[in-house]
Amino acid sequence: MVKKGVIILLVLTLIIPVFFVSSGFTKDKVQVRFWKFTDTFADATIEKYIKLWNQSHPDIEVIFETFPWGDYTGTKLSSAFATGQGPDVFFISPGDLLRYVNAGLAQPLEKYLSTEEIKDFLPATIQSVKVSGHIFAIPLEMEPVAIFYNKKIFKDLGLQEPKIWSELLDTAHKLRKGEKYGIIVDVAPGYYQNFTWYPFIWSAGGDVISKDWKRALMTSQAGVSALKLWGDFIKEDVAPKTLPGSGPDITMLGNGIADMMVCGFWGVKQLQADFPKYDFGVFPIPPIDNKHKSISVYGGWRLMVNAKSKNVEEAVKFAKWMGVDQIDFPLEWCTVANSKFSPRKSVLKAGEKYYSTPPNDIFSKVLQTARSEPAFPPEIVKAVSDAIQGVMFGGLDAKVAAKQAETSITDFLKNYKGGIPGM
Amino acid sequence: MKKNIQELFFGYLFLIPDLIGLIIFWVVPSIIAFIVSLYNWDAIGQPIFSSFSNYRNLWSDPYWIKSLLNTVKYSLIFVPLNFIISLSLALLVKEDVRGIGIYKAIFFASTAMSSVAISFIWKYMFQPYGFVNYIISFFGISQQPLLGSTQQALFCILLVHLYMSVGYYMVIFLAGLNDIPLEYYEASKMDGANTIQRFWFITFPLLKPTSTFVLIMTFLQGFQIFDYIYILTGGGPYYSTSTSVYYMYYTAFQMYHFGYGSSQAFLLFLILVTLSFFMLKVLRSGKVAM
Amino acid sequence: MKRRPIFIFKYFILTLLAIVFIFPQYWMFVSSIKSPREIFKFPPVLFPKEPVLENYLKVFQQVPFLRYMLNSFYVSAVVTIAALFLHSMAAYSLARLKYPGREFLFFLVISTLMIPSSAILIPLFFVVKFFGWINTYSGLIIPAIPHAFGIFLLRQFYLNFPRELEEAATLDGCSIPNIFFRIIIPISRPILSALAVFFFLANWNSFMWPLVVINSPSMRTVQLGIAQYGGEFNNPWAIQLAACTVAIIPSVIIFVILQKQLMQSITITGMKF
Repeated sequence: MVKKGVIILLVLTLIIPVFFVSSGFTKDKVQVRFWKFTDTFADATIEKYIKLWNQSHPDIEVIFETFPWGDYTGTKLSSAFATGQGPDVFFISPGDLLRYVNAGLAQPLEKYLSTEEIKDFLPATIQSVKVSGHIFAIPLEMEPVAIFYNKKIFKDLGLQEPKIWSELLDTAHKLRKGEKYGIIVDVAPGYYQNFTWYPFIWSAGGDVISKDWKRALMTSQAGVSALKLWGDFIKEDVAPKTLPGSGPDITMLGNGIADMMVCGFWGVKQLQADFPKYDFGVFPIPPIDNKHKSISVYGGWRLMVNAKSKNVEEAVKFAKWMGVDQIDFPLEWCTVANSKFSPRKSVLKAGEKYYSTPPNDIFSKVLQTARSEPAFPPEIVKAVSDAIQGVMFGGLDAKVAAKQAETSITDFLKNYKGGIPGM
Repeated sequence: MKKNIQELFFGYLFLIPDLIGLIIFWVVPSIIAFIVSLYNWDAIGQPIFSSFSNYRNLWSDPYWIKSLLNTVKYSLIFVPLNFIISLSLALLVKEDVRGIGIYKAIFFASTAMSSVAISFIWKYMFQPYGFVNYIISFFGISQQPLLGSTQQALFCILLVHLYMSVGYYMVIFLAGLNDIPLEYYEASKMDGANTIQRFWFITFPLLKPTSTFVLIMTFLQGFQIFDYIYILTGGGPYYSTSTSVYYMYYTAFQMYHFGYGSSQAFLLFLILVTLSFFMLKVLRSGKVAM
Repeated sequence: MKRRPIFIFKYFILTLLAIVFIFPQYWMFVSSIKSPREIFKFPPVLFPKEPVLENYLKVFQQVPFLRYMLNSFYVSAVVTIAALFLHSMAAYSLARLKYPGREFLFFLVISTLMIPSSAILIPLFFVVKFFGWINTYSGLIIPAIPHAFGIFLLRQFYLNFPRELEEAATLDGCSIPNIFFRIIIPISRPILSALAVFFFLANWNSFMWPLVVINSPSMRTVQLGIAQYGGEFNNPWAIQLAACTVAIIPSVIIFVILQKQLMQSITITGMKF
């Protein structure tokens, strides 16, 4: 008898969930699904503005759903779009832009933007979302990369901010004491390690590929030197070979694992919030020598509209409202919820005070010569990553690693038929 | 005759629900995956038919070959170590004495940890000035790069995997050990057998079905190791911890080559089917029912 | 007493091993009450100078963690009950009943263990979409039920059962279902308890599949929940570890409860049916 009871209970428990459909479908409202990776602190700001939108637009309901950052682009977005379940508006990284454009999933936006609205954006940011003359995303933020350091230790040891690479390496050696390392650079293979490495090849006067995407340039003097520098950080034991946290986590600097760290603008807010007593400074990534200029990189997510969405017009309306029409959200997003730069001149002006307060002013300066994170397809990312990993951990000579990368990239570029960003 | 028909009827009836489930949720997706392997597809764009070129490219892909070699090396060490340690733990906690439950709970609790916890704890333990290096310094060994070394990283993953696995298989061995009727032990004690003899002539043979299970499962798990690599090393440094499943995941979800990734999965499947077939044959030889 | 030294030696080894095993668990707990200023410090901080017990409050405040635990509990419980039921039947069929194609079907079942789940992640998503189960409990529960692990393990156990009981029951004219439900299941309690713990744990710790199938924040399961505390650059490790510590409790409780069942030994004499 007990068994019968168990069976009935079982059947019931299996049937009931079938009727559990989440968020009921109301036919009179248009629903716009807005996806992003989770950021528990900053998301509150987004939710606030979505609430404002939903109140003022009763006919268009925006539903905000977030997913763990590490799996957002690779697993979640891919699986959703693969089965036609993609969202209507979503955050997209520079690295993924081209892929979505080439797949026909990016809605062209230029016809929705007036000339003044486009002019309000810094030209480089519009270039970075333009392919074949179409604007495929709305830039939202810019986070340049520089080097954070422990001001107190520098003072105690009588150290100056390094101005060229040889000084950087030298300073790192001087800082290397006991359990403390000289500098932290990311060690895990991936887009972030590449991202923080690009400034080095650029500040040596070179680049990964030519602007027209026709030639690979890794074996140039700049490429080899940049690889060699990172290899030296590891070989000369001034940078840790393994990290307890992820690459962009400034907590590692705050905890004293090293006294210098390559990190981005986001680190400022984090240090100020979690390590109020830590006296930190920032200096731009040094160029290779006095004949070259410091060129940093900036990343930053964009808003993209799903071209295959059933509600493209409404989705564009919402995306435009968030990123283009107003100053309030971008300003709050960049200066209150996070520490980021806005790609819009009007927002930068409104946040003038914030951006000129030290140490933000250093980043403002860095931003002036910084380049957008390249929209490289995964094959090029892998080639560069293999080179960096090879020099740091594979015992490869910088020239050999650069050659391997250049060969892969050349092979790839030969067969590449997709769009070229910035063109 | 009636019995045979009854056996036939219930034989199929009892098996069918699970079998249908397995077919719908495992076999059908695998067939889809195989079809995908005949295409070049990045999940969001249009699939382009490429026949068996994905399979041909595998053999000229040094990273795939390296991953396969890493995987074989890994399994060869993981399977025996896991077996010995979990069986030993089970034998140690088998006694029905007061307080033994605490030990069981401690060994089991490790297997219940979430990936975020594992990532944090073990990454920290393996740091240059972390606990593992601290412990080995007592044995006079100098500081080791551990996760930062292409030679040592895979063994660090192995250590984490063992930590997360032995408590689990200890429980399985415990259930297996308890299945052995006490009468056998009573009888042998009366015949004057000592502990080692009891183990070798009663326990071990009667554990064969359980041991078969453990060996095959840990072999399959070792060969498909992915989770700890994903959260601790990302395949690095320099592909030294890249295993077959990790490289497959990387190919599909980070390089967005789903067709190529599927071909790796299918080939791995063929390798595992072949190897397990032979393993089962070898393990089945013997008097005790397999 | 000759047994004494062995006894003490055994306990000594056990205690040593227990210390080794519990240390990472201790580390997880103690780090969960650290402030960011101590979380990565070297040399390691064994007792935080400024413990932040509020982290445990934040676990439930920053994110509806209790809801996530309830979601996971519901899913894991249903899957466990259904799986135990179906797998024990399937395993008995493969172990004790004779019919054509049995060995082939057994190998077919086992072969599903050789398919890496990440390989069928997206194809399975297609199948689930076909049934209309995206973002539903069904989508979490039903695909998780059929799994060769449980069938394989139970089959091995049934192979080892003494046949006398079944033979006696057959002579008495018992039908197969009767034999199964009245004899086999009761004897299987130890292994079923072990499996109950495993199935519960597997579903509780499941991450990839819930990530793909679930969209709504209200449907998130516990592992998705733990991943929600951070952001792109900011990983509040302490709070996440606090969430992990809380998350481990249900599994351990279930283990402790079922532990007694696990320890039941078989005695041939005294079996009544």
